[in-house]
Amino acid sequence: MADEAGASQAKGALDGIRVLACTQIVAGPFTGVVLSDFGAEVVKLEPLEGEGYRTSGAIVPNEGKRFQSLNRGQKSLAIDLGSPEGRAAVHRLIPGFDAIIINYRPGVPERLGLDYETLSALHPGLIYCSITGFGEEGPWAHRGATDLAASAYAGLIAGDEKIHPDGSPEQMTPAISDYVTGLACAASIIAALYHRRETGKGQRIDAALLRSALAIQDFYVMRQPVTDAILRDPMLENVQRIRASGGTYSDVLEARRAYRWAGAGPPRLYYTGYNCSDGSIVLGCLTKATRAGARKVLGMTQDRTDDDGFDPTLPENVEKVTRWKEDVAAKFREHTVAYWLEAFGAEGVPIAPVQLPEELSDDPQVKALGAMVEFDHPVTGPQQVVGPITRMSETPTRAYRPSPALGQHTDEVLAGGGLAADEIARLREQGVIL
Amino acid sequence: MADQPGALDSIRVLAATQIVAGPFAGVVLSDLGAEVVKVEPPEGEGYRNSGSVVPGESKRFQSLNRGAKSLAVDLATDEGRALIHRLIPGFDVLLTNYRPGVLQRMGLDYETLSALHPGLIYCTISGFGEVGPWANKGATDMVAQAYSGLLAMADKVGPDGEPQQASPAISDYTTALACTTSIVAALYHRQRTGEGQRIEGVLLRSALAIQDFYVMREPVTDAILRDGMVAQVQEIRARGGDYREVTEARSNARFAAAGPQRLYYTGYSASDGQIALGCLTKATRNGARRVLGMTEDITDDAGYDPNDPENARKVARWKDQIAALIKTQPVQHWLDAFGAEGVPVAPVHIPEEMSDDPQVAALEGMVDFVHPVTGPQRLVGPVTRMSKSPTRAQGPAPALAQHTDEVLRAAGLTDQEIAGLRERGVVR
Repeated sequence: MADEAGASQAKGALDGIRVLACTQIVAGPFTGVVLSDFGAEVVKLEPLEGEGYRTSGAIVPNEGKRFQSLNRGQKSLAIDLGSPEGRAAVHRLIPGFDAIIINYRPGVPERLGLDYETLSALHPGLIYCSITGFGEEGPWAHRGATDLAASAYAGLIAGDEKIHPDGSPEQMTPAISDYVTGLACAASIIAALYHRRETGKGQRIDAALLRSALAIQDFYVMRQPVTDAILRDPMLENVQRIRASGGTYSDVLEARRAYRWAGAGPPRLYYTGYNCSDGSIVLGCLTKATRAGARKVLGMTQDRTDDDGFDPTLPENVEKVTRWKEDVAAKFREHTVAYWLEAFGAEGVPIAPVQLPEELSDDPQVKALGAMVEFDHPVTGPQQVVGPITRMSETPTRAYRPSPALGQHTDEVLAGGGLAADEIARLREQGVIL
Repeated sequence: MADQPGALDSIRVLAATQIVAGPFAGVVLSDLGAEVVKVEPPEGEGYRNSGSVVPGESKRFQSLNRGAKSLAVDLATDEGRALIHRLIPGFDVLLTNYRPGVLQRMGLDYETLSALHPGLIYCTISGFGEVGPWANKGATDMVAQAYSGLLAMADKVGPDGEPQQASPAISDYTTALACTTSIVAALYHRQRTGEGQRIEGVLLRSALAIQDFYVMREPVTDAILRDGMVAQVQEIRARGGDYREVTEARSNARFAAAGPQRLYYTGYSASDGQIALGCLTKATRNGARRVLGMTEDITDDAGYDPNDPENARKVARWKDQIAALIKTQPVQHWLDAFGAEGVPVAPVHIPEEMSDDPQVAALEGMVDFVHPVTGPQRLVGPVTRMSKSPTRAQGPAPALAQHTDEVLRAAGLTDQEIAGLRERGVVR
């Protein structure tokens, strides 16, 4: 698709759309990355000292990889919103934007003059997208949240079952509820643009980390009495009893695991990871056909787990499958990753090596997809960043530019908003902008 | 607000989807107001039976196909393929996560469909994309997680030292949202220009997108933090070291520094359950310190060196001290105490209790439906809320073939034609 004639000159789907990004950390900035990859002009509004995440894990001051990665494609406008002049300057710019994304703590947008009432009065066609941890109402609405707090609340980290050696709950990485919320917002903002083109109306979008964390755990959260009476309800009672009696986190997870993995179905053997002689692989079989291929490769002729009438809950079957798993694990250790990739690949079995994220920038498949993009950052020099989330044939997605240095586009954006050069100079003298 | 149409009102999506990624994209599009018609084989999509108590009606399937309609057609027959081709001009979007070879066989490939309907937005989802050494290989979430680094990132090691899956199926869900976003962008583009187009979603690509800064390269930082670790991991693998050693080498490099996050961005056990502290700023950490009485903690002071081994020992001791203190009180005590200081804190819930949670109820995060086969159910609602074009869960998942007649009639087939197709086993 990338080499289709003219594709490189074609404009993105959101060409001409302008987004003001009052964003920090992950969720808001990632929304900005996605919108910018679709061709929108995303202007990140930063305080004069820069968004706090600029320094997260930074080797070069203010230019950490995290910030650079999560703010690529954007422009930086540095204004002090603590001052009335700063707020007035932003209000002057608002009519020139189509959408605004905010993921500040509840209460902060009001203090900074960035609340929905104020901005929609200035610009009724504005699409206003708010990201909070727990939503706009309810007993937790006022609470600040970060990915870890929202993921813990929403069940994500218990669902992932990761436990620290000292027995405490461990976070999930990457920051899933942040990223998913970023994507949910991008989809909703574009849907609102579509709606605005048909009706002329702007609108308000409310996203919450909690809401999107539920969306990706949909069938665990879902209730259906006929199934739940057998599987969920007894487990939950058990968990509540364990907690009330001061049981450990590990006890809680154990109780839930017993419910999720009741029985020794074929996924135990063929939808799991194994160690080889020089690394690890996973098998990802979800169908009878691919499992039959895996059995062939492994010589598992005795395995009847896919036969009609196989009862995965029968203790002797559980014992058998457990023993087979050990046999299979031992067999995997005898050969290299490359050997197994070839053997299973030949049978059409879904398989992959277990790689580190840090290795992927040099991966041949990633290269073939054109998934990494090279830039020269104005402060830190050459870099490769992860490219857009999808590829589109007529309105190509594209990483347009590296993350901005702090205040790099202040003059450009203010001048574009109609401020005269002497006004800009005065604001800078007063310390309102950088 | 309740009677306003959704943003994608009157948009029609034909969904040749299975398992998670394709179906979830269908859910999100239907929540935005689109009519999503799922084309299923006469025996039903395979995931209908995944973990099912009632045959053909598993919770997974029902949850991931809510809001869709079911059209059951046998695409292995010429007549079935001709039928779908007749329907195609009535749809705006084709969404599929079948393998490319399968799409050819079913007559659902891009060339065929775009010739029938040039304005069509055609969105495929695959594991590894259509080019490169892994092109067109079969993939499921587990495989894409392993390949993309997500699995190692999740850093979960099984009891026998083997890699364990991160749950839920993150690369599937992320790809679904990426595709939804792109489809909506393509609709916006079509609204402006009349053009359809092709969209390619790839599990590998979206898995990278959510690990962006781990995957990113920047020589100035990588020389200090990344390169040594990667070399060490390669050495471990080459000498036959197991997965545990690999993940330990990576975590040691990632968490070498004893920064304040070790204490305040982590989970603890209370006397009757667990909490997570989620402090990412100095201000919220100071709040946490006040609640915990951590007056001696200097991890946020200017000049504090998180790489000094002496400091690492101190932080380890403080962590034990905090853990012991948190253990003395119930979860509610800590939610109140940290909450009063504005510290991000939350109880560690299990997903199965969220359907009854008061905050979820306040957000109207769950919707109640009566399923035609299994009866009453409560499902997770839309991913966002919109004020003028409300997102809305349109209905429960369809029973197999529930909407075959409706969809075919709307496309102009007569009752007689439909009956004939059904007799010949082409539709159900």
